Amino acid sequence: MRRRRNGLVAAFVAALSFATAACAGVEPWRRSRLAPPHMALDACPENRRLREHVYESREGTVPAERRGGGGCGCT
Amino acid sequence: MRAAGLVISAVAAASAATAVEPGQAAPACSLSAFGDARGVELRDYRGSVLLVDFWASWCAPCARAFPLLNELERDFGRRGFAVLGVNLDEDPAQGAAFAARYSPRFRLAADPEGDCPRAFGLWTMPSSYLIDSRGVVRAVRQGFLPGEARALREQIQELLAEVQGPQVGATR
Repeated sequence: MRRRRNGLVAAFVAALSFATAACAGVEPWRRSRLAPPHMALDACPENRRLREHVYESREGTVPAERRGGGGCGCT
Repeated sequence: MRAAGLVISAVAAASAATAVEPGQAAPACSLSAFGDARGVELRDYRGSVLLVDFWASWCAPCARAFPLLNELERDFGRRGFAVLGVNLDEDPAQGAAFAARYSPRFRLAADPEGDCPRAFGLWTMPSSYLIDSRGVVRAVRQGFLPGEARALREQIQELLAEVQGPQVGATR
């Protein structure tokens, strides 16, 4: 029983080691590396706007996230 | 589970152990030139009260701190106090553009390799360290809070009083 428990602990520590090995620390004064536009959640805002424009043109409405509307084109 | 706890505690203790705290000697730092200002070492300021402020161009609170740092330099600069702004940008051009925009009136230096903040154990931006005339860190500030300006001024005045000693002939 005890041997099995030790094995589980060893497996947990090994898994933790593997998981943390995948993490790269960023020093506080190097956080500019996280600030470029391509690191944003919306990496390509222009592409998104273009897609929305095409969607509006084809569907005759506006995306739901922008404003309310019934899809009749009159709002 | 206890083993995992020990590992996490050890990592936390190791990172905390490297941070310079009030009462500890300021680490020796050799800083390179910034713009027209020549390089400087922290020990050059022995005998003066020094506020070391670490900043970078991408750090918005750093910009908000500059007016206060200008005021401190103006108000105490002739009494044995100095502000030293240490730019940590990897690209010196970005730091120079930032400085041109926000017009610091205190001395600037650069440390693009990050050796000095590493020695201080800096963990957030901006951070500032108030160092007394003997080279001992007396106060550490992480981030910039405008409400702390008054307390900072009082600390500077106390440290300047230590340097200058009691005023001879002072009356109550």
